[in-house]
Amino acid sequence: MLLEITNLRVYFKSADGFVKAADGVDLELYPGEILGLVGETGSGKTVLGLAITRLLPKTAAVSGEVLYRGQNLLALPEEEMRKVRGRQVSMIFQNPLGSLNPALSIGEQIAEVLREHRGLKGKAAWQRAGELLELTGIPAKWIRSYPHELSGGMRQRAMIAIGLACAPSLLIADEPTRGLDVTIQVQIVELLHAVTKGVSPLRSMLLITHDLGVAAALADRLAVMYAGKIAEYGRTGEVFRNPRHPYTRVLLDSHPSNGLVAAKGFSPSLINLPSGCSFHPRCKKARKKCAHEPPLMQRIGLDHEVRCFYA
Amino acid sequence: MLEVVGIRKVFTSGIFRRRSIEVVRGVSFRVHKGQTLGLVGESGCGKTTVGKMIVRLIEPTAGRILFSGTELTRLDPRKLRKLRPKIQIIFQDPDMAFNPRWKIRDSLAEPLKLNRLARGREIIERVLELIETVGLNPEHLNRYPFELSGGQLQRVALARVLALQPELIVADEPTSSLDVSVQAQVLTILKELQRRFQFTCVFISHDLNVARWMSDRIAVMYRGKIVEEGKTESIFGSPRHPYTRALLGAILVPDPEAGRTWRVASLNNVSPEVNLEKAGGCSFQDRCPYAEKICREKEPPLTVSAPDHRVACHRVKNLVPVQANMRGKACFL
Amino acid sequence: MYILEVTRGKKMLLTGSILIFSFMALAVFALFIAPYDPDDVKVEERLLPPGEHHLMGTDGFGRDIFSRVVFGTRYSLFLALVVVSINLLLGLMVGSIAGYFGGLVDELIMRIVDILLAFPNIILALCIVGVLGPSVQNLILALVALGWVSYTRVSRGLVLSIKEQGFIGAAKALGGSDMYIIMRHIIPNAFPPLLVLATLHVSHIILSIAALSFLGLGVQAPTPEWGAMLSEGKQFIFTHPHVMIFPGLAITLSVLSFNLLGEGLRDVLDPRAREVLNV
Repeated sequence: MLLEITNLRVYFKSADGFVKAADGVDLELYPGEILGLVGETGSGKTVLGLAITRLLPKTAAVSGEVLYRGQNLLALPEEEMRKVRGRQVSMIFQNPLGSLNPALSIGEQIAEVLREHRGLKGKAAWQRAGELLELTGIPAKWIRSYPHELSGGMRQRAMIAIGLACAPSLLIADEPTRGLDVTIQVQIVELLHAVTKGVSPLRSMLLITHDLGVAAALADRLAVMYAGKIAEYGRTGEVFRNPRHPYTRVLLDSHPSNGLVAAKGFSPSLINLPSGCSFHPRCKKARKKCAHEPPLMQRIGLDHEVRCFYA
Repeated sequence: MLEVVGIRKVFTSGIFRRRSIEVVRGVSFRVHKGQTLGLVGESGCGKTTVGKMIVRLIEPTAGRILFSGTELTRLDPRKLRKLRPKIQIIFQDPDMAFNPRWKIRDSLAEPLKLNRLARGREIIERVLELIETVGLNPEHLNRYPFELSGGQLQRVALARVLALQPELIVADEPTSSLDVSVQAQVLTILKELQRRFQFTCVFISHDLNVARWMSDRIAVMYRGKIVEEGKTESIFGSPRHPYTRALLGAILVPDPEAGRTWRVASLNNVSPEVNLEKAGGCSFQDRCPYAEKICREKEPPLTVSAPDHRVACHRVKNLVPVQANMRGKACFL
Repeated sequence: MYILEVTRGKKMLLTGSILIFSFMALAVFALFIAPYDPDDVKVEERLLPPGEHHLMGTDGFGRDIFSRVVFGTRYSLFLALVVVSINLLLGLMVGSIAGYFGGLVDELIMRIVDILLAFPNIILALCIVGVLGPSVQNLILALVALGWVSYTRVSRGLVLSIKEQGFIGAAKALGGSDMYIIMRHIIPNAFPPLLVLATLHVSHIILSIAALSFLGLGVQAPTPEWGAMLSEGKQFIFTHPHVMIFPGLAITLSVLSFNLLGEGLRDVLDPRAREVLNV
């Protein structure tokens, strides 16, 4: 097991109460596996990614365990954690324009990581940066270009190159395709596939996305998140073919390729969650019990779990 | 009903050193009353500019726009102001579409007051009626825009536009910033309202599947021009232009079983070495896998290639016809 | 992170407001608060140290410094507020027009602004007052002549960004005229950040007025203006420092309170502060 998350909770304090961005999340990630974390705005999926890398603001209260190769990241001293972030786990943020430094060339930004974490010097770092750019599909002669000179897709490639610079065993990609044109999205999906499934040993990835199409194309297993909790968890094919949680159904049915079937209601605010199962006000199958008792995760197949009483 | 004839838009910048780019390079189409035209393309293809020109937020550099037989492009300002309420637009980003310092109530009342459609007590009644038309509660009226979600705001935007009983609505990517489940809700409402109020719609989208669901006809734009146009079934059933095919092939279906067809669908990258404005020829030549000599020399005109189906491609006859399956994914050869 | 800023902002806002409110009260009720007539010359009581009868002592003419400081509030504060208000309104108007209409109008206005910005502030003010002669009107004129420029610049920038937001396009499509859009949508949204700037500017203007008066080019003696009082007291700086210390303190404190208010407002109005909870 590469990554094992147990009972992870992330709360933010606000004027109106606690924002429960993650509320008892359990996840595992095996070496070489791609786990898709799927959810909509406000489901807490981004916060989860930040919690793993400990990049959350200090106001966040985090509890639970994040075991990476048996080592609890949440208990690590900051200095050790920095090493983990630099050498083991790297994060590819959404919105590359905001995450890249506008004042440095992309080559310089990659070389910086290489010098800092891989001990490369001078020309060696620069050369390796060029190789990484080529690897992600950017011609090496663009090494001196600045983020604003690149198109959206190229910037995302540069982000991935930076993420790969420290040769991590785990990539966390947060909405890597958001805001890109469809033809470019496909290329980024292809690239992500190549840098995880196309290398030896295989590289693991936690793919955080709202796009079920992207998840279907890449993920081996899928975790569907709703209101800070995992609603359904299982092998990708299994979850898509045989969705058992009513929310997963909603997500699939409302997808444009599946005919845009609208479901009722809105995602709840994370401050004021409905009692019992947080999905019950929007659920077609809901019965009395759902409003009072929060359902637990239950195993319904070899590799398939659902948080629903009536799955 | 709505007829657009050869509109162009050239943006210029700088007072002393003028630089200009032609964003829309001669676009023509027609939308019949009560129908929806889907205007599809990727970012920067000029589809939003076309939409803004129709509602006259941007002046076209050339070309004509006819609305119910009246030529909007040559109307004097007084007559235009009279016609304006009938032609409305919904924007992409609902968070930006409302004055952040106004309550929803005031934003909804604004079109009524501006056009003197109601006064006093009537305004309140109309506002209540409008908010319910789009499936929200009267309590939402007292909120500020930042207190509502994107989906809710987009519904309010719809209600605000409906206040004017428009005959034409330009919907500029109304759901591209929303979650899929919310997108389905908003589009369902839009479609239902269209059935009820019979307005004509120009639906601008980057998502072919969404446009397919909304539209009677589809026009695919690339770099300021329409490259393919026809009935929705025809476009999806037998897409002809290589770009349309690429777009269709790039759709990632939420079905791992669909096979990773996306591999085959990819295009060449935009090559910065080709200066299209100077080079002439087809604007898709640098990305097209089928480009030949003629594509680099002559710009292909939009010609009828099948009944009620127009394509701008020199090589359309030589391309292998594709059969699209039921899910909207073209299978490539 | 941001939550902290808000509360810090609120504290500054509160302190600043209380101080300014006190100054305002001094100005309004000066007649009741001041124990003596500020212009009452008593040669036999000149240069008394602070004590029981004269809280802050007396100056070279035997006038009660406390009373003069209290009445001085009227001039310093009132003048500064007038100057800043004129600057703000003028700048907002011109800047909105430049930003909203753009093109040649914008180009023209902004070049004028650039030229004016190239002048050193205080020197131009000195020239104006020097040529026109020292008086309150000319003092205001001198401080407005260049003061509006920075508001024009800032409001143009604000308007440019507001103009691009969807609700302006929406208002236009819904049938709003240009004037309506500027008055109802653009100015109300551009105003709050400008208000912050204006509040911070008040202290700057207080200092400028004091400086000009100190140089004898602003408010004229015997008017109890703080800068003028400093100027009158400068000959006693080593022998009777209290003559200068108290008006100096008044200037410092008023500057401080406007800075607190301005920075507090900025922290509280910062739109990021609202987004804290949208995790």
